[in-house]
Amino acid sequence: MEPQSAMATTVLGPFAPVEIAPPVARAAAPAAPAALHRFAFAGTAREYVGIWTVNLLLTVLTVGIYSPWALVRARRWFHGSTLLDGVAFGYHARPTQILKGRLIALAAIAAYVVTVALYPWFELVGTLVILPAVVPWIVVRALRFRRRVASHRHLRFGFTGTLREAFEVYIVLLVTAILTAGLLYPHALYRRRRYLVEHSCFGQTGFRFDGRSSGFYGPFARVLGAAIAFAALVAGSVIAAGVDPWPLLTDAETESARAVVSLTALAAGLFLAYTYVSTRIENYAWNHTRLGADRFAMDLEFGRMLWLYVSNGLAIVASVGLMIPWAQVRLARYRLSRLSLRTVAGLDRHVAIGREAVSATGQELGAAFDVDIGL
Amino acid sequence: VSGLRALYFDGRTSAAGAVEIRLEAGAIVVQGAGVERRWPLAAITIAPRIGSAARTIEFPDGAACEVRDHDALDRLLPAPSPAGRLHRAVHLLESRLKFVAAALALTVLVGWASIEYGVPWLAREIAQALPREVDAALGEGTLEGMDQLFFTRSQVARGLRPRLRARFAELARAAGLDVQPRLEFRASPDFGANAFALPSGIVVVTDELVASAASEEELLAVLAHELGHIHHRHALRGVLQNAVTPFLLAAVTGDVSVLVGAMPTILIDMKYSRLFELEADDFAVALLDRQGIARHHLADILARISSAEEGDEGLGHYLSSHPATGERIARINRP
Repeated sequence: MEPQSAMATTVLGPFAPVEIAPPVARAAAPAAPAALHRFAFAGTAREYVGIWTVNLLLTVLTVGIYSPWALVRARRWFHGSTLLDGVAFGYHARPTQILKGRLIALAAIAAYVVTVALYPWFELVGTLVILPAVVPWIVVRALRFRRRVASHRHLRFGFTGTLREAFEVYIVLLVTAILTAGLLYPHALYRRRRYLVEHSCFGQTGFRFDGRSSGFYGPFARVLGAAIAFAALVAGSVIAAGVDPWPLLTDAETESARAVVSLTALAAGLFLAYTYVSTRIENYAWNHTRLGADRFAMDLEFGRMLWLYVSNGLAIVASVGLMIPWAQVRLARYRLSRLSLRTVAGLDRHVAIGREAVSATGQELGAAFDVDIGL
Repeated sequence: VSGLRALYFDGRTSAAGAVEIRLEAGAIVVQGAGVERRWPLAAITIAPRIGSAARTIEFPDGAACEVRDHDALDRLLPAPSPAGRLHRAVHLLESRLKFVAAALALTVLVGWASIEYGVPWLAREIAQALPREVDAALGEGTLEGMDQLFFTRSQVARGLRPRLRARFAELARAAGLDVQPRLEFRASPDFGANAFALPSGIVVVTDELVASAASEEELLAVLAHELGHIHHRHALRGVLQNAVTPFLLAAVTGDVSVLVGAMPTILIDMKYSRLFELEADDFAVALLDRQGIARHHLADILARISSAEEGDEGLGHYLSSHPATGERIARINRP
């Protein structure tokens, strides 16, 4: 059942963040040594509204069978509109691979559900044994697939992470984070990012990550500090104003109104915290990512991200989902406009991995779970 | 004739070279920046046009060209293959505003039709393929659970119960159900005047309902309605519909699955229970006619219960999924 929940969490992220094309490589038509190469997103919302709508229609008309074709079309458009130094990315997955993968995944899930229905004790086995074993396997497969089908300058990306480390990062560290009441959660995020970056490659050039755990703790600590300061400020001003808080806290008449106000405030606070932490960590992580000797720079502004999330969310709700493509394009445009790569000697010198090294084993299954896993 | 400008990659390194592409006697010629290559058209793969995104022309040896000028490339090439024509058709749909608007309207229409007709039809077909035992398994333990949560011991007069049970059994026989229904009495301040049909064939009436009935015929009319729920297997169909709807939505939206979260499935759910009530009413009316019980009894008790509920802000009010009573009464009294 984990694949579903993995999908759910990623899908419900802030308005389905557009997957930005995988890390990257260097490009420069005429090789200019030691230069700053900018990313950009060239697609327009108007174009994507058309692609998205027609995808939706054809998928509905074919009762979902078209959806792998729709997915590939949308991904091709996103990759082909993402530029580094004016050169686009490529997306090469075949829809039939994805369809096959989904059918296999569906069969596996159905078999599991039926088994649990017949033998309820099997659910325990599933949760304790199968899930921890299967999740890392799926993660590795999906990452391999996703990297391998992406290209830049006609050179493929790759992923070489091991199952063992995936188990550590996605199961052990997650469990530890829960057991320590979240204290180790930033560390788990750090390890996950390191795992994703360090095992990714562009052709034969590996990505490197030189961030530290403390860089991931910083944003969390600042948010916590701000929350405590805010609470102290509120309490202080209530006391200073000489208001007796006791009736406010106990009066049954205002109970429901207070519940609404406090829940809204809590949701707003969590949203602010989420946006701040994710923006800062995104900046930190990219700023500590290298491709060979070349360094990335990411400079997302908290205020801009907040505005994008809020306005996108309102537009999507007000349009019953029809503004989703517009929202995705806006987000992609802003994020990519803040990302750049400073190279030591241009983008021309990366070398491909021999074609024979690319095995096809399990690609289909990887495709099944290729639903926005991190990075 | 000047060629089409493109970037050339050899597939072995990331070096990019500016080239021009020409068509010469059924072959594609790539020339520039130290490159001079020629391939028969049949040997190359051209990515479909999607918006203004860059597309690649792939050559058999692993090299490729990146092209931006899509109109020029389309002009350069001869008529595309069948698959290529399909991609061109999709691109045409995507890039014209009026087609996009039409696609949107059609999507909404198809979505509405599948919720209105498709899902109930599918649930009915599946229910018919499943044996009655499934219903029974579904209702197992339900009464015990409700006893703990909502019900208390019934205060209905001991003498009244056997008589009602006998008339209920007679009604059930006349209904020709393939299960043996059972009548249970419970008191429930939470639900007020109400009756429930559990999928296992148990019908529960509340003391409040018995109290608000003006005659035994009115109670029988309500029981006939509940038998309608059992006959049409509404509990099972409800479960199936609830299971099918998100599955369909997920299958259909795929890439845009955020829609699933935004979709007010609870509204769809309420709509379906409305349909079930009307179906059960129709069944009850036909059964009452056969048994020589005037159908106005059903209308009467419905009207009384709903006027008693008016202004009631209790639990019963929130749980009420029945369609507008006026509409149902008019339907029942229609000859």
